[in-house]
Amino acid sequence: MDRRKFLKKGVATVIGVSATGFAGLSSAARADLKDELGDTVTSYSAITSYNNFYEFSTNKTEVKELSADFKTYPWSIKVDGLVKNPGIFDLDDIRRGFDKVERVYRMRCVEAWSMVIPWEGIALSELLKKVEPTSDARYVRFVSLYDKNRMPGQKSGSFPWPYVEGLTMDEARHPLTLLATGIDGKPLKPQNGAPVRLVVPWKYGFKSIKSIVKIELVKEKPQSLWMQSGPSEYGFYANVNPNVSHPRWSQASERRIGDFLRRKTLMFNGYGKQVSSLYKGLDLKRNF
Amino acid sequence: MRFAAHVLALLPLTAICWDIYFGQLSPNPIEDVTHRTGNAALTLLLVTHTITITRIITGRASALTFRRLTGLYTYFYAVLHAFIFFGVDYRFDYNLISDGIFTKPYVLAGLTALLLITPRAITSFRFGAVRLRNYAVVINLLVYPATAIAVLHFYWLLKKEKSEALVYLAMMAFLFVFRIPWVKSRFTRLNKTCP
Repeated sequence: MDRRKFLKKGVATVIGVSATGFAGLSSAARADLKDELGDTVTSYSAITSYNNFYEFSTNKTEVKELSADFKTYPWSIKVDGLVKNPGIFDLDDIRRGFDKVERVYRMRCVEAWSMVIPWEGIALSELLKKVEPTSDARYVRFVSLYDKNRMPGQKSGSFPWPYVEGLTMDEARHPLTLLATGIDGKPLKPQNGAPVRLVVPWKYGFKSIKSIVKIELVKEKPQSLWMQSGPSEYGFYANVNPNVSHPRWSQASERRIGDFLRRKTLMFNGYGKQVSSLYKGLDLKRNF
Repeated sequence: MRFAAHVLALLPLTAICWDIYFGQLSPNPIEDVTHRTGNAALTLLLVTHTITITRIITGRASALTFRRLTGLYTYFYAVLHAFIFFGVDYRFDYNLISDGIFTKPYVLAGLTALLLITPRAITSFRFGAVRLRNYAVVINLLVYPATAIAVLHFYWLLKKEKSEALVYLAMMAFLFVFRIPWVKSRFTRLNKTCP
């Protein structure tokens, strides 16, 4: 299936984004913004004030304030490893050098809450195409900024900083996988992972690593920060799966932020049609 | 004085009601209220222990004046906390609750701690005190494992960053030292020698 056809099949409904790039959506357009299942987008104030971003704080409601002065300019992302064309990309290279993509995705946190977020950014596959991975490259390893002065939460010795995440090549090249630079027509706020973050909507939120400074193509399966600090709780795949429980949170249901009642969690967060083929023959109970 | 104690003990609930009224809860309000009532219960439980210790150190029975009050508020917040978790969040859904109790150690620990302090709350009232007086010693002692289990409940709930739970643990450890018979008898003797 080519990319255009795939998108036409309805990955996400995107309505009314102005052509000028980062101009905001009009409020009327925003109220109509829904994902392909008909779920309304979460309020922008909730999206920007309830954030798991341990580099700033383990308290979700404190991140916004603690990250308010976080400088994201200048910023560059080093893309290297098993590639033919390694490179350093600054924010403009990412925003202007590739086709802009707008997607409304569900974001399911491993803590059993979820949001619907109108992302904008680029397809990660496009960036990978540009650097030309060699045939040895089997995984993509992502690294967040490590700077204790700018990210005070990194002073805590509880975690093996920096934040690291990984995807298989197939996951990284999947058309749903984004490098996001904005939400709701505005550049990413620090609390949402400014200036560039990963978005992998069929996996738990922690896989979608924030404030990326390095993307490395590698041969071996990367060891993520969460795999290091809690191997029995967090696996490499971390696909949203209502049938595999987490020691602290039942994953069978979730609370959509803004809703009072819980709702049933969907396999692969509702993206099973698009991604289940990636995991054919894989025991998802063991490879959680 | 008594009035001030009530006001202080009701402060967490007042703050929650204030935030509900003015729409200032976190974007995940049920989780917010669950955590805040739980923190209030744990804090008041440690305050209650502090009162007991104050009596041991000073030897003055007057220190106990507010212990019944803080103890009952502890129970009040603990019940509210459990109700919000099982009733409001889980909607008394059998599957969610059984999954919680049997597969999530922190849920089982929280429920156990609540059950262990329940007899002590009942005996705070005259009718309970009369009926259960034969078990009074055991009922009082149950509060100690309950406190340890409540701290464990909080510890298990947190992800890898455990410092908040460790603060409670340190306070609990400090308070429990005074319950060691050898330590306690030092203070009791000290008080007796004082005129």
